[in-house]
Amino acid sequence: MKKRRVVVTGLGVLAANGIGKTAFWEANINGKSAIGSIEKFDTSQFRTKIAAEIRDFDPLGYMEEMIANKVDRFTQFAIACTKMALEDSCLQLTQVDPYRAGVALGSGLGGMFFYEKQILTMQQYGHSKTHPASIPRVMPNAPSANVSIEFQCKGPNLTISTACSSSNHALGQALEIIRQDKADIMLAGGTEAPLVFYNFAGFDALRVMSTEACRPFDRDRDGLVMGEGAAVLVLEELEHAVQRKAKIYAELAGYGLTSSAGHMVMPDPEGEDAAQTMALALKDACLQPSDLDYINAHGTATQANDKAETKAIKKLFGKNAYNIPISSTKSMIGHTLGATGAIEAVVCCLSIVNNLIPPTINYHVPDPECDLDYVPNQAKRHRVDAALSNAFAFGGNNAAITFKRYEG
Amino acid sequence: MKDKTINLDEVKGQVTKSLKNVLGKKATNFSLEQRLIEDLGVDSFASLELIFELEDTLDVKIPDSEVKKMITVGDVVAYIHNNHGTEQNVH
Repeated sequence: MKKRRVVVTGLGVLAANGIGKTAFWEANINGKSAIGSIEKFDTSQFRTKIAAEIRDFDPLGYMEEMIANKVDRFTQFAIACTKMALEDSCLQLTQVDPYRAGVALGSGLGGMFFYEKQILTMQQYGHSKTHPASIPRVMPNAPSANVSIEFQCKGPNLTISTACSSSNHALGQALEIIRQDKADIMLAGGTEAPLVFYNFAGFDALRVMSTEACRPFDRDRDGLVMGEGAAVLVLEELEHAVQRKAKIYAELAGYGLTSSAGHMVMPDPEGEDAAQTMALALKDACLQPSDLDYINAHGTATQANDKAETKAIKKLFGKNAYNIPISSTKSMIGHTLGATGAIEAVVCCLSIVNNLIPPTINYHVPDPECDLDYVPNQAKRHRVDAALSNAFAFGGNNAAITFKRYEG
Repeated sequence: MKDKTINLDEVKGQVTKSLKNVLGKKATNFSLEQRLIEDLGVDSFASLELIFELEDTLDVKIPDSEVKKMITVGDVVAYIHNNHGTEQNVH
């Protein structure tokens, strides 16, 4: 049987440095950082006082007030991105069989704003003040459920919660669903609104957050910066997209997944599992390592990740590793945890369309152990026919996805 | 429980507002005679949200045993006003 192919026909993105694909892309290619002092809560007790907050998001621009008031911030993000992606795709969902359209979203943490608010309310006023919608608002599948309801998608409806690889897995699972003929359209991506006191305290206690800036692959990098964000991609079976003359950004061509089976929060220092994850994602896309033109790195800016990821790239690509441009979107928008794969998938698609690779900003001091081309500080003009995006999560849930230029 | 008092217009206003918040798109204008389930589609989950919001905003207590007896919008207004109201009782 002929393998069903999957293409990207719509992009919706919310990041701290840009809302919508145009603003986001402009910000990325110009190296615009959106990391700054936190305004949402008091950081005086923490080592870290910076994050990438989305400051100009108005949910009422994307949904009715009644919906906005009934969902947590991470669900608002998902609905907004889906609306943007569908508008971008020119796809009229009312004209397709609703059982052939599905949703697959990632979220690492769930509805933390409402969760924290409810805990504090209960502590102050007792359990009688617990909102009856507490559970449906905070559960990690609230975004995918609300997107399904709002846009009347009655096909598969999945939520993947594998920390920082959640949305790479969501995109990968959506790819498999369309390949297996269980849907023709999947609204896939991820969302995270992690900037609440509890999460911040947890990451601060783990000592993985930078106190100054996100500096992936730089010798003096001192950790990740937490960020808010979301992205949804319209994934469509190729023939379906061609028939309706859709604009095609790229083909989502491969998905590789492994588990490090090693440590809850530390990567394998040799990058063995990361290399295998990338190899599987290339193989699934029928690509040779030498075919790859760009890697959107996991690139968290922790000492451990960037070193292990660099080793993994060298392990898989050999001497050619030095010829592949690699950049970290997180240097500008922080680590959006369960949304990171989806946002970086948007970057991969736009890199293929524009033959332009956004930079890794804040890169100043080379690290002898991270000696590849990280596209430092300036965007790079480079033909991109094939791009790969990495995500390596707490828990060891690794996922990489590959995009290819669609030639028609 | 009659530790605070609320006038009838205030009760009606809040019940209308809470119904709109809970029902959203389905909301139009509400009359006291409308039945919560049959006419307005207040399902069991919406009922929980409605009562929670009324308790929270009006600072009243509505026991589950009383909620079960409420058939119409007027029943909700009457219970709150009869137990917390200032003016002549409704119903």
